[in-house]
Amino acid sequence: MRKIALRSLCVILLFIAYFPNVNGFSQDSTAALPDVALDSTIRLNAFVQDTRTPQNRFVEFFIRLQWTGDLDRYEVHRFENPILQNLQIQGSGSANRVATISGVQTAIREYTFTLKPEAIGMGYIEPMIIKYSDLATDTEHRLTTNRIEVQIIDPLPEDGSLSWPLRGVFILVLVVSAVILVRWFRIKTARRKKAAQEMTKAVVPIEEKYLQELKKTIDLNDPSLDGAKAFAQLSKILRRFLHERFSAPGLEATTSEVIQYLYEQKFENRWVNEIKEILSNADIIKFSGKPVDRPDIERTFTIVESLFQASLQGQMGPHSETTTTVD
Amino acid sequence: MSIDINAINAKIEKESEFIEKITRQVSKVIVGQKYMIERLLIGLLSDGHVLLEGVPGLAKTMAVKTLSDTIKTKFQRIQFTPDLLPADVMGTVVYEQKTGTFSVKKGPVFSNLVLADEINRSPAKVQSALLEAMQERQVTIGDETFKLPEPFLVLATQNPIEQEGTYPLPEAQVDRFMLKLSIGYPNREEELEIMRRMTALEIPHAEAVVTPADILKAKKAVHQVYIDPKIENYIVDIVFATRKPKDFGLDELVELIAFGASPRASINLNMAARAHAFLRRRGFVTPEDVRSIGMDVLRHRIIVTYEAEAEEISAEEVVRKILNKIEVP
Repeated sequence: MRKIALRSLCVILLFIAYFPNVNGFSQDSTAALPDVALDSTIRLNAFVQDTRTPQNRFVEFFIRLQWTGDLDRYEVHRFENPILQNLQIQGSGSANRVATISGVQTAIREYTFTLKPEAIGMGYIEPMIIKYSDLATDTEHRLTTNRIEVQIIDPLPEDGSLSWPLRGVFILVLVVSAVILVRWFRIKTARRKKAAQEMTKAVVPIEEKYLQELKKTIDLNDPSLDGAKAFAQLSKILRRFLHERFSAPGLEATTSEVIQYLYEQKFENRWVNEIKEILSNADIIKFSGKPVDRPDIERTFTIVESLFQASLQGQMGPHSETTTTVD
Repeated sequence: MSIDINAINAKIEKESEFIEKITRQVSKVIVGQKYMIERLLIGLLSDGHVLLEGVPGLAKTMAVKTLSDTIKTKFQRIQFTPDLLPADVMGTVVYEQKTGTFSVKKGPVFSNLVLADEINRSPAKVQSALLEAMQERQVTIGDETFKLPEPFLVLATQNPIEQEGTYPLPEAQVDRFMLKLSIGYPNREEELEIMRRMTALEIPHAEAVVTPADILKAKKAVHQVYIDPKIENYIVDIVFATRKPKDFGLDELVELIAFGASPRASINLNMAARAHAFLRRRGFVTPEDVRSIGMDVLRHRIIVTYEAEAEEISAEEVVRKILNKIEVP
C-alpha cells in the first residue's frame, strides 16, 4: 500500500515537472514567459469576449501581451491572422497603452479580431504563435495561445427586422396613420377656416339676424298678407330666437314649456308675459281658426321687434345676464 | 269650411262647467293624484278605458269609487283571481226551477264604471271576455246580446311588483285601453294630508253632483272640440315616428322599437287630446293637449325590442324621445 502511494506521488511529481504550465489548458490562456528575461515578465492572454454567441452576432477575439516596465522593452513581431474554423475575420485592430497596476508600471499591447460566425455549432480559433524580441537582452522568444472554442447558437431577431406578415401590418398601420394624419390636418385646417368664417359671421348679433329675418318674412305693407300665416311665422321666429339666444326649448316644445323655461331662468316677468301673450295668441290663431285682424299682426310684429331690440341692448335675458344700474 | 270658434268655445265653456264640481268633490276624498283623476275623466269623456299601473295603496280603487259617487252612476268592482270565470264577469243563463225556464243573470260588467282590480291575476279567457265587452260595448249571454249601459268605463288595475302567478295582458289586448297610467307615490305634503284625513273620526265622502246624462252631453261636446289639420298631422307624425323613426331623424330608435303604435293610437290620441282641451275648458286642441296626453296613450302601444330590454330602455323612454323630437306645428 505504501509502495503504491509512493509510486503515485512520483508520477504526479514527474507530471508537474514535465508540464510546468497547467493554466495552458484553460480557454483564457495566460502564457508565462518560459525564460525569464532580466527583471521583466511578459504575459500573454488570448480570449474571446463571449464563448457563446448567436449566429448573427460578432465574436471579439483579444490577444493581450502585458509586461512590466516600458512599452519599448519588447518588440512584438508581426503574426499571421488566426486560423479559424466556422468563423470568419471581419476586422482587426491593435492598441498600446501603459497603465499602473498595483503600483507597477505595466505596458499592454492588445490585438483585437472581430470574427463572424458562419454556421450554428462550434467555432474554433486555432493556437497562434506570438514571437517577440526582448530589446534589453536582444533575444527572441515566442508564446503560444490556446485553442479557443466558441459555441455558435441560434441567431437573435434583428432590431427592427420583422417577419413578412408583420412587416405588411406595420406598413399598413404606417399608411393608415399617414392617411389619418393628412385627414386630421385637413379637417383641422377646414375647422380653422370655418371658425374664422363663423367669427366673421358672429360679428352680426343674433338679434340683428332675427330682426332682418322678421322684416324679410313678414311684409306689413303687403295688402294680401295672410294673418294666420303671419302669426305662425312670428311665433316660429320668436321661438327660434329664444332657442338660439337663450337655449330655450326649441320648436319641439309647447308654449307652456317655453314659458316654464323662461321662468326657471328668472327672466323678468314683463318679458315673460309679453312672450307668453304672443305665443298663446299665435297658438289660438293657429289651432282654433280664429280670424286675425290686421292691427293684431302689426301690434304683435312691433312687440316681437321690441323684444329683439331689448335683447340686443341687454335688457332682456336671464336674471344673471341683465345689467342694471343703481344710482 | 269656416269654424265658429267662439261658438265652440262658448259651448265647451258651458258643457264643461261640471268638471270643477267633480274635481271639488273628488278632492274632498282623494289627496293629490290630480293626474290620475284628470285621466279618469278623459277616459270617461272620450269613451276610452283606462289601465292603471301602480303599487297597492295609491288610492286607485278609492279614486274610481269616488268618481262614480260624484256621477250618480252604478259602480262595480271585480277582483280578478285565477279561478274567476268569464260568466262571473259577464253573466250567465240560469235555470228557474219555479217557472221551468232559463233566464239571464247579468254580471257585474253591466255597470257604468267597472273596476277590474288586478286584471292580470285572472286567466286569458276572462281577460279576453272583458276586453271584448270593452271593445264591442255589448255582451252576449246565451242567445241574447245586451248593450252595456252608457256611460261605460272600465278601469283596470295592474300591480307592477308581483309577477308570480299573474297572466300578463297580451299586447293586442292592452291596445284596447285608451290610456295606461303609471301611478306614482304622493309627495310629502300629500302623504301628511292623506294620513290626517284618513285617521280623522269622520272620513270624508263625495257627493253626487253630476248625472250620467250630463256625462253623455259632455261626451258629445268633446266630439265637437275643434282639432286643426295641423294638430291632426302632428298626431300622425308622432304615431308614424313610432313606426318609422328613421324618417323623423330618430335613427337611434330603429333598433329599439319592435312594433310601433297602431292606428288605434292615432284615434285615441285625437280623442284624448280633445277631452284634455275640454277639461281645460277650451274649444280647440293645442299641441299642449297632445303632448300632455301622448305618453299615456302611447306607452302601452309600443313594443320594444330585446335589445332595448337588454339596455333597460323602456317604451316610456322611447315615447319621450319621440315627443321631444317631433316639431310642434
